[in-house]
Amino acid sequence: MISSILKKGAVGLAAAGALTMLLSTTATVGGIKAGDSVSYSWRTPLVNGMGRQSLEDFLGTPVLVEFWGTR
Amino acid sequence: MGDDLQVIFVESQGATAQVAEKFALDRDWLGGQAIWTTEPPFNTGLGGLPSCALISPSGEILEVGMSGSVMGDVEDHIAAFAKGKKKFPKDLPKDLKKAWTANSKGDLALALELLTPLEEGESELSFAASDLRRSITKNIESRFKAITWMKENGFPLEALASLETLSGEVDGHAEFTKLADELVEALNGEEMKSEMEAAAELAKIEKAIGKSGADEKAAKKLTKLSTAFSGTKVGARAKALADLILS
Repeated sequence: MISSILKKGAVGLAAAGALTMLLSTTATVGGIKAGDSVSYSWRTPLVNGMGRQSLEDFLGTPVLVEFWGTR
Repeated sequence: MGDDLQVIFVESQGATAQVAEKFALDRDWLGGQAIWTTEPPFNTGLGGLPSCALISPSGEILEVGMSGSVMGDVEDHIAAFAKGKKKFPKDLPKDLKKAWTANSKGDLALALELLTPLEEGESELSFAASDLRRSITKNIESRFKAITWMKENGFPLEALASLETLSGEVDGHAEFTKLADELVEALNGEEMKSEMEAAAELAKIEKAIGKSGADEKAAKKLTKLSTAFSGTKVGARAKALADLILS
């Protein structure tokens, strides 16, 4: 299901595994954890954000934040 | 803007926004509903990539971890959200069910109408009804805000498409129907004519890019479009896209 939602991006990101580095699978001090409430306002416009600029703008919809790398 | 899941891709290896966007463009990852940024909204505390975090509709972290490890759990959560959208929550007063169901089916005007008598007085039901009204109203207002942004920033076709859906959902609600009608009129007005024409042309080019890739030929078409529709927001978008391809 999720692969259809992520469309080409997710497929591409999976394929880009060779370009990214898997350094660790352990959470470090200071990181978020399940149960935390998060809020954030982006300083720069989001590409394809259609005017939305904070996490609050997405309330009501689940949000998957995917961290990836170009190298 | 899908209601099932919003995906935000965050480039996390220090690339500039332009490099990240170009990287995604070259691989035909742009387009669709996904959002892209180089600015992380929080620290996952993880040392590697790709990693991800799932945020609930109420803004709480549900999962965080390396993508390969947590994707199964993420999928389970999303499936549960989809199921939950159709099933009336047991912890809500039963008298709220009709309004809740109307909302979940996208009949927002009816839901708001059904809530009015339930909000009288001070009871568990009235508080729950007011909560649901706030949630529905916030949803509608956010969508109008997004549509207005699209209209004013070179996405008139997207604005019209989103408005068509929203108009149907608020049909019968005086205030929101009036707002929707005003936006439809504005989008179809003389002032937006050039923007609409440019957007139709840009959509064709973007479709071609989806098939053939973002090459010099596409950049030439985009530059030509930006010149033909100079002064429009869509023309500026076409120019920015051409510059990105050629960068």
